Amino acid sequence: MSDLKPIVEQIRQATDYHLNAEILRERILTKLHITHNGGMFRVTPELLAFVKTWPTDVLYLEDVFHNPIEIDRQVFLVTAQQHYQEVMNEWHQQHAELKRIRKI
Amino acid sequence: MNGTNNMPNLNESAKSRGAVIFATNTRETDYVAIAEQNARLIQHFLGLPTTIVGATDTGTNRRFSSDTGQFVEWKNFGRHEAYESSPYDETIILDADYLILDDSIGQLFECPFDYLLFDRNHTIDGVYEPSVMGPHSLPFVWATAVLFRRSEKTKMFFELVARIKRNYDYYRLLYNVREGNYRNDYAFAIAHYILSGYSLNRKSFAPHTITTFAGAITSMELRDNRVVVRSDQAYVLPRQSLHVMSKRYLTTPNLKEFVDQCLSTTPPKVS
Repeated sequence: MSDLKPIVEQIRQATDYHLNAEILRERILTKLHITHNGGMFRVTPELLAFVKTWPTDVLYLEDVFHNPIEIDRQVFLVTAQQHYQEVMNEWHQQHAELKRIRKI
Repeated sequence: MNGTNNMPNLNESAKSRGAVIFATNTRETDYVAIAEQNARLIQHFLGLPTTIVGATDTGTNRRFSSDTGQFVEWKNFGRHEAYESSPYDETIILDADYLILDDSIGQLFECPFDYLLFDRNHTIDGVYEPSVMGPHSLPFVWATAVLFRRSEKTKMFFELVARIKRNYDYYRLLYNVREGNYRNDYAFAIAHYILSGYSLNRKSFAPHTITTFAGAITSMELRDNRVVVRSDQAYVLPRQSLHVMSKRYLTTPNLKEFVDQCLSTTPPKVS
């Protein structure tokens, strides 16, 4: 029994990092949302690539509330790219800090 | 150019927006004091005023205390009064213990909706939360935070919640709710289901998750935009709104210290 105690303690400490990192990821997924023209979108690499390659200036996208939203392609792309960059930078920075303070 | 085009439309007044917190003190917990601290956070992170409401239909129930491991008194039946009690056109109803630590909930008002519910909750310290109200019942909805705008549909929604509350024994059997105790969560879930034409309409669900800390807390601290929560172990969380179940912690002077720390951060730009 006495051998088990330090192992349990080590496992608990080891899970700290993974749990904290998962909670951080959820927070980042929330932060990745932007609003445009009354719609709400989660900015993803797929969304950015799709909008960037779309051939016309106006298009319609389904938002997270399942509504079709008219999109001004240029305005949306600039906003989404800036937001994506900012949030992903924050994720990288905070994740690096979590790695720094991890015990195991 | 006579300037007529620059004049505001006098028929269209600016919409008011604010938070409403229902708080009724019990023998064990000073909910009003918790709500007052949360109101400071709401002003800082959302730039919104808060109205603290003592519901007339408080009821008396029991909740499980993670601090003591026992059931304690709980008076929180009156959420259906929010439509009448709110002085705002656009309202965020909050539990006193859902601490607002970022502006994500306020951004939801940039989208069109009559009312908006949260159907996802993540309890970070591993306590099991059911995803349905019973084995053959509706999916869970969390009344911890609800957003609404004044409209005919919203008025109907809250009237329906009140009706379900008044006839809870009937609706509990009808929807196979496992738990005997009345919960605002259940009444909101059933009312939404009925008002959506007996369907699970996801258009009224927020895309975000409520984050909950269910266990007893010994301290909370803001460090470099991260929240360090000490419980049976330490958790390093990003600064985000947090539903704190540990009323013992929330009623200590430590909460005010934590809020003071949060208020020293730069507030987000409010649109």
